[in-house]
Amino acid sequence: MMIRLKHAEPVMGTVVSFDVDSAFGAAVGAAVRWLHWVDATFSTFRADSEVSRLGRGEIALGQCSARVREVIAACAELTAVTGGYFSATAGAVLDPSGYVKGWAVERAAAILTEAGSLSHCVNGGGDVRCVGSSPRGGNWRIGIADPVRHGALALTAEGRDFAVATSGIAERGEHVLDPHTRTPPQGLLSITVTGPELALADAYATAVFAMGFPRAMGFPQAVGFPEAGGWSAAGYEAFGITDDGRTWQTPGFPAARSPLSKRDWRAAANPPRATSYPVKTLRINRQNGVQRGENASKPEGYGSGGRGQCHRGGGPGRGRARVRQGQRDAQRSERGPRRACLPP
Amino acid sequence: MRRVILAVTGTIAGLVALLGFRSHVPSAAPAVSEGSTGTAGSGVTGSAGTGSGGTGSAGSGASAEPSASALPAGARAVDGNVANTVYGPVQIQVVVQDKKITKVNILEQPSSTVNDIQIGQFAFPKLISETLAAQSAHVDSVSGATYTSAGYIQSLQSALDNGA
Repeated sequence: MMIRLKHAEPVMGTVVSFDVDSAFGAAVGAAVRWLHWVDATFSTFRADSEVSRLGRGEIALGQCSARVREVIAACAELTAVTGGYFSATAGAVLDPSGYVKGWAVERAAAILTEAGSLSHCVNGGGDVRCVGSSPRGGNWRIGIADPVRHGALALTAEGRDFAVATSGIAERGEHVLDPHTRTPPQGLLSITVTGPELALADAYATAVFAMGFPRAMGFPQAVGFPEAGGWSAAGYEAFGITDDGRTWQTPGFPAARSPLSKRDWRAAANPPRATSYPVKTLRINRQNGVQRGENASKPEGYGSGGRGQCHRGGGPGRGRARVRQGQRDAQRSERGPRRACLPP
Repeated sequence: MRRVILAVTGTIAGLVALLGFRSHVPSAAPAVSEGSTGTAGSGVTGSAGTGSGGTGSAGSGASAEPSASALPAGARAVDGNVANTVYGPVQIQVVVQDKKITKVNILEQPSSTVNDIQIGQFAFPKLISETLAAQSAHVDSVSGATYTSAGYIQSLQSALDNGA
């Protein structure tokens, strides 16, 4: 019986979790160093990062490191392939982080593979890359978080050598913009995309989420991204949850269990009015760091405050609107502050 | 704008008054307190069956079952830390057998008002069944909207990383 090494590394404004045979501790160290390098280079929250300086025009693309050029090129290609729904410039500034996190975690998993590991799983803040088969010998089983009921699962995906990426508003509010309208997409709580590579799965999840409902539903299975020869043809599948509790999935989605019942959803999506009051109370206390010690959670690093399609302006009107929206999820009263997307 | 500030201030003041009315006194000391006196107004008295301590305070816990008794062979009970919420202290205990949580007991929960008790009767069984259900799903990892490092602490993934 082999011993598993589980390591959780706070980096990029989130936490990256490793699950690997304990013989590969050194490789985990190398992967962690890689992630911190990515953070320092690509963070839009660090004024001195290469991407920040590139965005301000202080340096030209040709002066950037090879990895930055690689990412910028990939983002441009994804913008073309997704009909403009993925964009590194949806907000006011250059922000490729909708691609970078998946790409960085994909590379972290590859570092473990290169060190000889045949079975490992890296989870970058909710975007998961599994390599080989699970330690039990069969499929990896990846739960898809229920965006309404904190701690519960909406569905479980399973497979080997595959990636699972989710884009949604459950953790950080409406941080994804539709690049065509520059407004938050309507009607969706989350989109999950599975496929062979995490970098693409993550970018596709962001793009399909940005489409909003019902466009997101028809797009992946019926049309497919024009230059990728169709969504499913490329091995990518989608599972979506609407804000009124409906779910759908593409025919090839590797689901392991049936979704939530409709009754569960109605109960969860429409909490009794009274429960919204304590939620606000909790939020006030959390922001002041009164209730718990760990709070003071300002956006740090990218990923915490926004992805490629974040950076909405944070005027007071918008903030209020977001609180109202938050009441829909009032049952998740133990959740962290939903307004982390606002500028600090 | 001024009206907004006034409204917010008024809300906060009202909340402070409301919460101040409750007599919970958060205590740093963990529960399990056969010998605790409770004279200093401590609201946290972990063990239920004692009846000796903590009676002077409205915050004394309504815990369900005496902990360590009658555990099946091979099972062990692990007490969580006392979490001091705005509604009062909460402490749970999990019974672990073969690396699986087989039972969740509430050692301490807010019970100073009728509302507290009603909420507790409704919410805790639901949370317990969700905990057990999440575990029975046998997942290796969890995909979801990107959490912040603070959000991670409360996430299912963090429970998985800690060997749950």
